[in-house]
Amino acid sequence: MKKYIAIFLISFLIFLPQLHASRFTLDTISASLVGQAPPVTLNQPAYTYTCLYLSRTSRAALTYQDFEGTSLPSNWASIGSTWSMIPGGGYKGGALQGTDNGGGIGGSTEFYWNTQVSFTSGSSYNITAKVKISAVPSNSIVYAGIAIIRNPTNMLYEISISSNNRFNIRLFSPSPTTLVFAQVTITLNTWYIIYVSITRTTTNIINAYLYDVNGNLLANISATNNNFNPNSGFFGVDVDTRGSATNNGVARFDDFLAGNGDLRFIRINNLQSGMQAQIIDNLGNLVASGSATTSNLALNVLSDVVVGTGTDGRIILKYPSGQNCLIYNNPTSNAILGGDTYTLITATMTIAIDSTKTLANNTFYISPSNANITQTIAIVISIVDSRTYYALLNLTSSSSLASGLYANITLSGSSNSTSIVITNSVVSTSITSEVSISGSNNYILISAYYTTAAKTSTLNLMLQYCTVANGNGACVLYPINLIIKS
Amino acid sequence: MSFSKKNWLFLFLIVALINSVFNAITPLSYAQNKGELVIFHVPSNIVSSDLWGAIVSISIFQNTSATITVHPTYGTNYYSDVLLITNLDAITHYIAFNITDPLAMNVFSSAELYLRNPANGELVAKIDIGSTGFRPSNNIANWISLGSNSSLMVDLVISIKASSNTQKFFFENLTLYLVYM
Repeated sequence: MKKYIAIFLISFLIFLPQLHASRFTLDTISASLVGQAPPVTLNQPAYTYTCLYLSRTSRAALTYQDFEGTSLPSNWASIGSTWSMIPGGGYKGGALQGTDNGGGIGGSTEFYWNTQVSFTSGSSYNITAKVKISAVPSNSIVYAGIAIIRNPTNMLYEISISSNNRFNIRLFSPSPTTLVFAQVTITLNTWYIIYVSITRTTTNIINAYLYDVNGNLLANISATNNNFNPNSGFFGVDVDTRGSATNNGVARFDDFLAGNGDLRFIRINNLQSGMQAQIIDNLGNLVASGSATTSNLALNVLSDVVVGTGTDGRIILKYPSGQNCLIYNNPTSNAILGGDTYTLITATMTIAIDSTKTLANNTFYISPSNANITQTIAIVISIVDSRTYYALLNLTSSSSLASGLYANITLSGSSNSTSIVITNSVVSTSITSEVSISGSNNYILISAYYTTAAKTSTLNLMLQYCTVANGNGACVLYPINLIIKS
Repeated sequence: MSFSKKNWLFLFLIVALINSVFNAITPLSYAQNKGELVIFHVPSNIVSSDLWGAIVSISIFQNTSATITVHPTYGTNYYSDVLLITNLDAITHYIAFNITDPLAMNVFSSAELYLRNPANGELVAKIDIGSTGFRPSNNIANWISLGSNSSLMVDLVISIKASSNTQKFFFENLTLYLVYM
């Protein structure tokens, strides 16, 4: 046995030089990892609901006319005068212009919506229009305003401004009689708003208001009259010239609206407390805005009751913080009108953020059609550290996108990043630009809609933040999953 | 008991076989550092800023020993360009890593070194540092080629479990050896 051991050791020594031949060499790496609390945390937004869509639930208007284009509107008719369209000559866009030729009722001249409205007892209507007197023959008075015309068309009430600085209610039966007037300065070529309500009981009760274009009340007059008792009538505008000349007074009209509710306001129902609303016309002008103190909000649009030039326009709803919640895009085939009522549909978010505040899931609903765009803060990013970090968002390939999804995802820090862009469920840009983030007002913003209802997409985002700009220094990635439904 | 030539030969072959297997499987147990053919550098483009204003500390001893300190948090932590490995030799060497003290997987969900071509950033290999053993493998045929006067950039990429069971103020050590032939 000793021999075997000796032989083994001898053999081993023979091979030892080979073992010591240093074919393998060692270098040493040691690392110490000192765990830290997360300097950047994920938090739920202040408002945990989304705005899905706004739908018009009622319309007070019976008709509206913004007098755009070059042709006189269809379904309107004239009695006397020369009526023409003046593109670009309106309060916004075009206007209707009438030149009195004395050929209408009682020597005035009318242009009216050629649809009969019922004047049964208890019926009540509101009519409004913008009007301005453009030309006054010498030694004459020009009246211009709203005409409530009896059917048959041989009598009318005229609610008018006149170049002799009056706001009038006149009866034409068919010769004109002034029922009431208020003295008010009327400036040539200046737009005014006439708003009139007529209620039919056993008599005709007329309340008339004159405003400047900013909605400031200039005069308020009323009349009760029973000289004509129509079963039906027409609403329109009129021009009348009196004095040395009985013809050739010129006036322009815009924003004509008639209905059977209050036409001065647009109402939005079912708002969350403190929400804000803006009405933007098709030209980009802010027409009205306000904040809800209850679930309902009335926005005064008297200055532009046929919003913009009577086409498209937007209603923007905002969270109480001022962050957008919804953009409602009115179709080009329609107008946003005074007297409209809209109802908002909202849905509650379901947010899960783990105890370390480095993982987040948010499930929420968005608009099911392209008429509404849901906008929301999905996640708030807070920098617990006093330092500035540099962050971006990346949409990972593990995301699953349902058909018909349009979405922009933006990181808002010191500025807004460029967006991750999804167009009809195709990702055209999967990563944002980098923005610096500090403090607690950093957000992941979503602007999105589906083209149909009952869709679900899962967007797996990765928030990257680094200690140094351009992805340098230490970088940390947090997964953020957004489950977006319609 | 007589001992024949046949027995001598048999024993010789047994010892040779043991030696070859020993070399193939556990070369490091007997390896020595014989020089500075493959060395460590601190990358010239190192950005040492770490979370909370801490510093990514990298120290190199005699070009063959690197000590790195980082300050990660929950999530995936990416430390780029923490080490540069350079082959100074006139011949190609083949490198591997022997992880002897890995990062604890009760804290980390993954832990890797990314080896990249410093010229173009191209990923050459990922080295798992979450368990003991040789990486890429014991088989020398799978070792990573490092050409003459070539370098590899090392990134440290670790994912820390975001869990209430994970203490955020942990202290973990990692030890591994660069092996080359």
